[in-house]
Amino acid sequence: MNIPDNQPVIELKGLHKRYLLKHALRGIDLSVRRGSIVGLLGPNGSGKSTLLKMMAGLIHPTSGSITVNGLTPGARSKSTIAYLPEIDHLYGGMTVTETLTFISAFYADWQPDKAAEMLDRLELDSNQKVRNLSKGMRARLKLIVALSRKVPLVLLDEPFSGIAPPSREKIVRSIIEEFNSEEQTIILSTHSVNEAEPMFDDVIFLFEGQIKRYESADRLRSEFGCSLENMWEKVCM
Amino acid sequence: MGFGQLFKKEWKSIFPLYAVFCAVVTAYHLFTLYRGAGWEEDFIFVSTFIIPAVIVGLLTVGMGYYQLQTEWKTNSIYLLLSLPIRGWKIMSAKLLASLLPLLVSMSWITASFAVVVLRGRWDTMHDFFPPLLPFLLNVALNSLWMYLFTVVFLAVLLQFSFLCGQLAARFQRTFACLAFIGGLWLVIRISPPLSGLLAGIPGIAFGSDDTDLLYLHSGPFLVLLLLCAGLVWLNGYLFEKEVEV
Repeated sequence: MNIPDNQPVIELKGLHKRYLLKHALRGIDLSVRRGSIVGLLGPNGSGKSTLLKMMAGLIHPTSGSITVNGLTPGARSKSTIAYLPEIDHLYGGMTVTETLTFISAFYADWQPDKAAEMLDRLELDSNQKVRNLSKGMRARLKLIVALSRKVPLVLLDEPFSGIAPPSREKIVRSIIEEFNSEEQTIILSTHSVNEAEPMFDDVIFLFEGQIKRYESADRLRSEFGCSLENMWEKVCM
Repeated sequence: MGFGQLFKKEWKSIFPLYAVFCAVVTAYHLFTLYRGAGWEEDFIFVSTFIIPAVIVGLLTVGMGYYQLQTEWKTNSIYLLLSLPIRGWKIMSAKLLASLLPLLVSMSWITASFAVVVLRGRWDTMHDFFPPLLPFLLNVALNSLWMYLFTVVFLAVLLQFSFLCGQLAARFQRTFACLAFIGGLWLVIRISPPLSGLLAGIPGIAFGSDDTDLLYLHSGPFLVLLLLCAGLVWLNGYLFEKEVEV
């Protein structure tokens, strides 16, 4: 899909999301530029997953507008987004190969060679059933599903959740290696700031459903004089 | 291609259940053949054909609910909702995938019934059966499509009920039950006046000229068909635009 270079990959205006009595997001205004890896940081319940799900078109705003790759969320916009949720969302009864075959059928931008190469590099047994894979292996498979597409926007929600440090390093390396800065934008939410920090070009600090800061990682580091992991309390308090 | 994959996934997950059921029915047919010599004809017909046909229909109706519930229970709903495919296609793939095993099972049960039960009793039937064949064929085929139609409608209505339940934050099963009862009530209320508008269309000949021939008004069936199509679209809309995870 051809999107003009000057057009932001994501544009949110006055975005609210309310669940009964709880406000998950409160008036988010955001414009994300093309070709960057953006870290979405915040404590539990700050609205990170809600924001990513909304961008992916899984949930709908209570009010406000959202544009992803120039499209309002729907079946068309979903073809321009690769979304990796925090939870295990793949079919347990399918093998790794069956999973990749199933998902590839929905996307014209699927790159089978890249999927095969990542499968090999991340040491996944293609004949194993998804339900028999360890949590770390399932996380790797989810990453293969998300990164095997030539897609303008990749949304990764806690890709390191419950993963042991060696697997985390492998996942970080894969994300950096597969990232195409000319065509892609990655938004990644995580609590593992330490491992993910080297990847980030920009960082969004989210707190109680509001954006506290959205800056380049370098600028934040020079302003606060510490790493992103130690910056957290200073930004949000 | 995506639709095909969805259909294949559903088919693979539910087909074993139908295969086991068909095997059990055939085993019962064989049991009847060898041990049912003194049984009453009506009991044999009901227990070897009618009851299995009703059970396989109920299985299919329940499958409409179970397929969706499994997606939520296993979190694979996240995958389905992130796919670039329209909601009605997802719902139709699920529906077709549960209808195909129903058709295959019905064919199997009928074939097993004909080969094992009827053939075993051919001596007592060969005098009166051949002259009644056109009548029986007409009744059987008409009953079959009406039965399939009812199953499809109930399966679609159960899909609708489940999705309505998901729109509520709490008491989802209660809301699903209310949606099912409400949907059924609405269909029963609006079908007669709507089918009355279609009074001019040809009727359905039920039976044959040699026996009691009934002409059924086809309006209610046409209305039900349109309601089914509307419900499939509505389910797709709810799935795509309203349901959240």
